Amino acid sequence: MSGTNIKVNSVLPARTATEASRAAPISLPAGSYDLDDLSKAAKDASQAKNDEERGELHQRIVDDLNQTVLPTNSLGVGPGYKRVDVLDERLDVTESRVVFDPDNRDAAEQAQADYVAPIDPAAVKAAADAPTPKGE
Amino acid sequence: MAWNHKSRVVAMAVAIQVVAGVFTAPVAADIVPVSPPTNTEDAITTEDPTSTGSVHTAPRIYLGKTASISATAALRGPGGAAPFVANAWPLGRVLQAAGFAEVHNAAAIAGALQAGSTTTALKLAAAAPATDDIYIGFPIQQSTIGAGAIKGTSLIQDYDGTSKLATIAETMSGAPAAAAAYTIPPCVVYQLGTLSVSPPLLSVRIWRDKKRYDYRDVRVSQITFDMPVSNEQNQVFPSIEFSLKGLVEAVADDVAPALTAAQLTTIAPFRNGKFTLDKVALGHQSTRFQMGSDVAGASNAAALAGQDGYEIMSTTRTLDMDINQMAVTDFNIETRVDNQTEISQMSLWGGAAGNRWGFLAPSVVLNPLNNPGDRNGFVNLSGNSAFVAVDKSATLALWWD
Repeated sequence: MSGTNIKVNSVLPARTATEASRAAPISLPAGSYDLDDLSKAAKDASQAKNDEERGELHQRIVDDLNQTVLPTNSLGVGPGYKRVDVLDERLDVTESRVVFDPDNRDAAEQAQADYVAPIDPAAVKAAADAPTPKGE
Repeated sequence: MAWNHKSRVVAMAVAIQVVAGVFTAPVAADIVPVSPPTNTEDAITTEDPTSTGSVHTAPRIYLGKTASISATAALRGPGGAAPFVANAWPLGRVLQAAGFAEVHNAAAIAGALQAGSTTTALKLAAAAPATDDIYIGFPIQQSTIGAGAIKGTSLIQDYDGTSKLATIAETMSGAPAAAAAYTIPPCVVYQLGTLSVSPPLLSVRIWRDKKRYDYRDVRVSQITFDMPVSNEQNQVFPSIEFSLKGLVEAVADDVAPALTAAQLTTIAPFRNGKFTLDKVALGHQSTRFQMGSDVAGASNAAALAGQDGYEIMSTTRTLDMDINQMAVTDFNIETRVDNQTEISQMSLWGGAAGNRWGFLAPSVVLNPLNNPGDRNGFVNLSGNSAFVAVDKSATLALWWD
């Protein structure tokens, strides 16, 4: 072993709660991002007034800077349908409901055309029960 | 008629699918070079209990089918003079679908260190990012680290946005001086996220000679980075193995496209590189990072398949290691196991620009690894480690300088 002695894993300087909050990490959803854009936007977020505002800025960073399109339609919305906010006047509540999207009829029709329905059961049974001539 | 379809004539292409349920056709430029994959259809059935009036049971009820795909892609970089643009590297799309964020650094970031660096941390310039952990997994080059494109590079395992201290996954001989130059080279870094937001879906095409299989709504159910050392006794190379689960879009007659030379770039063997555990350089034979995912689709009567698209429900991450037995005074495993000390593991290797690789697990704890065995006549220790970090818990870097 070498005679050189060095120290490793020195304790990093402590920082205040405010400093730690300003430097809060950003969790990136899967996708593609540009580091330069991320750094600039994150620097702006670090100057936010409070954690709540910083959280909103972080969410905006993630939403705006992701260059990969994350899948739509994955929350119960199939091709040709959309989510709309609906006020139920009887209950006085607003709900997000899935409704048919007439502007997207082509997608709905294509999905139905692509649907592989179960085959006609009678046809299967008829074929199975048909007598086969001897020797064939 | 053509019944002479050849099993070696295979190509696989991957595209990011924009809309769930709608196939995005990959083209020849989207090919991922893989060894012959497996692609199988999995029938969804249920027993029909109806009596047939005989001792024989009725045939099962056919409810539909799903598909499973698995493939192994040798780790070959795209090369070129600079990083590719967003989403352009087809294998990177598989990584994104597994939950990795692809972060691009298009141009080298050059700076001068501030006073306060240590033997394991570089104090970056005051203008460095203000956000913690943003640099986890990024390559950094500094003359105290070493010389050359691989030996002179290390990976950042922790970054403090307040102090600008970038902790690296190895030990330097001394603390670099203030004003010394450092560089974060042009690179693309894949950082494994929390998967709290669903990752991209994939559409996949597999050509088998004269026939083509298309799959949509594809999720990654398992991914493995296999990083063995290449040598006389182990004639192997680094690769990424992945398994996918999705739905069959179509099966059609179509001739497999031949891969281009630009797609069949050189595979960089793992040698003349680095392996560190808790910032200590050790001899080893292999590391395997594995992430298995449970995927499932929520029931939905309105959906064509009776269920929504696949989601990743949970994952299991492990890091298997096969290291050379070393003296206690060189690396004290027992103390680290007993204390369950959080440590990092770094692997670096590569060839030309755009084919230089760095894997980092920034925070793991060792399961007992003092299990001596035999590897080619030498004592080895094999075992694994458990991941502590949740976000950015595994990274893969590719750099160009």
